[in-house]
Amino acid sequence: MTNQPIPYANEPRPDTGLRNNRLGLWLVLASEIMLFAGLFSALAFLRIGSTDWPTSALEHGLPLINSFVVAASVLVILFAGRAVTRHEGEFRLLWSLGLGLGLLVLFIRSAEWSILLGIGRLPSTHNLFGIYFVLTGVHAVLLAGNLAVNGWILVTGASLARQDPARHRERVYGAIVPWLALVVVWFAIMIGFFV
Amino acid sequence: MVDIDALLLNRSAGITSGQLLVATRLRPRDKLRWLSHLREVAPPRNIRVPEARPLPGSRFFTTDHQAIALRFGLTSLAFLLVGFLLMLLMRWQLAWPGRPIPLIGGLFPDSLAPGGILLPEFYNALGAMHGSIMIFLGVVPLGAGAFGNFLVPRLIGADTMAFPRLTAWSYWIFLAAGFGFLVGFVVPGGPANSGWTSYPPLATLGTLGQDIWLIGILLLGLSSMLGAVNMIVTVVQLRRPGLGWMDLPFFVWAQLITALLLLLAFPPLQSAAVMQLMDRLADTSFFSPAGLIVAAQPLGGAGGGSPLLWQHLFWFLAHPEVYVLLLPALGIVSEILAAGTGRRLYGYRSIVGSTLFLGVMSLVVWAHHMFLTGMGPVMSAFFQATTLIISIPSVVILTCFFLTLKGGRLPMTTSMLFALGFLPMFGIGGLTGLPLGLAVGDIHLHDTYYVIGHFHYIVAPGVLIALFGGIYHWWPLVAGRPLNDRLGRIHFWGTLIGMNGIFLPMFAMGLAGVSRRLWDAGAGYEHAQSTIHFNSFMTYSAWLVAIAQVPFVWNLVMNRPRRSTATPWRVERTS
Repeated sequence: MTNQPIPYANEPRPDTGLRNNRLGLWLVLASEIMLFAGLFSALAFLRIGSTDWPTSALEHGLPLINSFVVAASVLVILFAGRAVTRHEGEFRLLWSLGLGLGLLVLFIRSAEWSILLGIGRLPSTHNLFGIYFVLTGVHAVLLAGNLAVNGWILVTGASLARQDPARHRERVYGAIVPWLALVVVWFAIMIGFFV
Repeated sequence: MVDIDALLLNRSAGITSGQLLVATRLRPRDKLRWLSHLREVAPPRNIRVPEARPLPGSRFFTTDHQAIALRFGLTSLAFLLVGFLLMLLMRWQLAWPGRPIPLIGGLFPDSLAPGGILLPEFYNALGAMHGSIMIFLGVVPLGAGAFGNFLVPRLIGADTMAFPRLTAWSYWIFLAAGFGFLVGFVVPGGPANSGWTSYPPLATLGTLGQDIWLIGILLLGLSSMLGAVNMIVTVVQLRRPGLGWMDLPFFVWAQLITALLLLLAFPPLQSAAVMQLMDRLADTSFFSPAGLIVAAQPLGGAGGGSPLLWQHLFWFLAHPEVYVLLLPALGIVSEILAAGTGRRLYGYRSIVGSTLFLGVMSLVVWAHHMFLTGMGPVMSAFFQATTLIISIPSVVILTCFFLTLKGGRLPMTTSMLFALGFLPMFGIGGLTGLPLGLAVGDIHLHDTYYVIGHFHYIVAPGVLIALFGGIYHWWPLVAGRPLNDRLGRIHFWGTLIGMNGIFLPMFAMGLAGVSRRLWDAGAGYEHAQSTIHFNSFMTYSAWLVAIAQVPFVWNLVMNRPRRSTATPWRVERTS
């Protein structure tokens, strides 16, 4: 036994052009897409089968605000991703801002849920509310997981950036791509319920 | 014994099927020649990382793929035993309805089996848990978790899986899910009792055990996803440089496609499990239509949902799951045949292509399980067509396996017996599926014992027989010595004959129209009377299968790995 690193963890394999972690990440995202595909197909199935689908009963204002926050967060995170190769201080600032916007998304989501639950729009009162709570809830859980990873990168990134910049960049990449995927899912939710 | 000269002549450069295992059937003097040849065709890797970054806690939390594979193997064998014992209880009830279970009947609480006589609810629970445990905790982890993790890195010239920690996490999450399933037996109301399919609205009304079952499914999905990602990245990225896709042993292809299916098919069931949990815990109505009356009371919730939604999401996983069960078994059989005959697989490219096609098509046949749900003729025709199409690659693979045997000198080892036993059993299982793939046949046979016979021929005398063969074939790599051949033959014949004794009569019962879920085996139905006497014969056959496992367990125990034993067939590729 030796302690040599696993091949192609940080550098691409010549014939496939892939790094292990990037391929693994894309596979996890494929699985995540299938998870949401199941939920969205349920949304379609329930909506087609329902004679009464009162989307107007959902809270509209806060999800719209959340969409702007989500869009802003993705821009900030992308800029942070560019900064990681140039300037660590700029990266940390932008990354922190992205983390803050992500937390704001969750805060707005919880406020929206509180309003809906407060006026009696419980998951049990209509399948529209049920599937809305499930989709936004699963999205929020995955977002919270992503935020935890982002926070971990923020805390441990500075030392890793000094010791092993390539690995640091890979970690940042590994956090940005799922973030983008969740942004796409968020806008799919918006289209599915409000358009 | 294998002819070493013929063997070396037939081998192309690169790692080929059964590379290491061939050595188990060579004369001692030829073994060195063969291992030298392997060193030539498999040049040293410049990187060796069996234990990348061990988790804290040393060996217990090992990330070594072989150690974890063995844990997968032992755990899944233990779960197979549990699932089998549940089936024995069911078979007692079916053979002698209303008669107390001997010896252990008094151990059950009155809420499950008063006086040792199974209550119908407990019979249902046994059926649900037998299916769930055998499939999700037994066969899949044995085929993919144990054989895949143990052999794939070796067969592709890698020293480890791509993500050793994921290998470990995959096992521990699987174990947690397994314990979760078992916890159902001790919670109030007993375990899930809505069948392994958990169809609503029955499942929505089920006991606390149903919640545990759903959480277990969520965990198993997570475990499968981690294992699948690991397997795919390992094969794509850690193949020995120069080892082309068409040089991969078919076993590796089978594991790769299995991983892809697990990765893509399991998440929709997880989403369905979340929704069913919501139906049960938050009174949503995703799977409950309006106006349901249960025990003279209207069911809570708003209604407006559909049980068919669950069926679609469930079968989107559960049909590919059949191939998740089957493909590792095909890979194992291919290795045994190649190593035993000392020849390449006949039609290797056809087999690989067929398996890829099988994997893709398995994602578009799910609704053939739902012909009786009132789907329109266009949808019905589509799924009938895809179902018949998917039988073609299976026939290609089976035919190639038979042609591999043609003209070969077969060493009748135990593993070869199991591999040869698999071929006709899988053939019976596949052919009896054709009438179920056509709506006109399925309308009569749906939910009868015919269906049970069909899929058990695929999974039990099919897949399980192949997995047993794999254990005999590769045990020298685990323990440094083979399993006893005489005990192995007793195991093989007892298992094969016993399984046929259980499942063959099911076709006759199903054709007579006997439903699969009758607690009293259909004693109250006129149409079941002509076949009801088969049940006692089937139960005796189940006991034969049980007895046949004793020499197997004894064999494993007596030939267990010992620390001082070196693994003789292992090729150490040191640079």
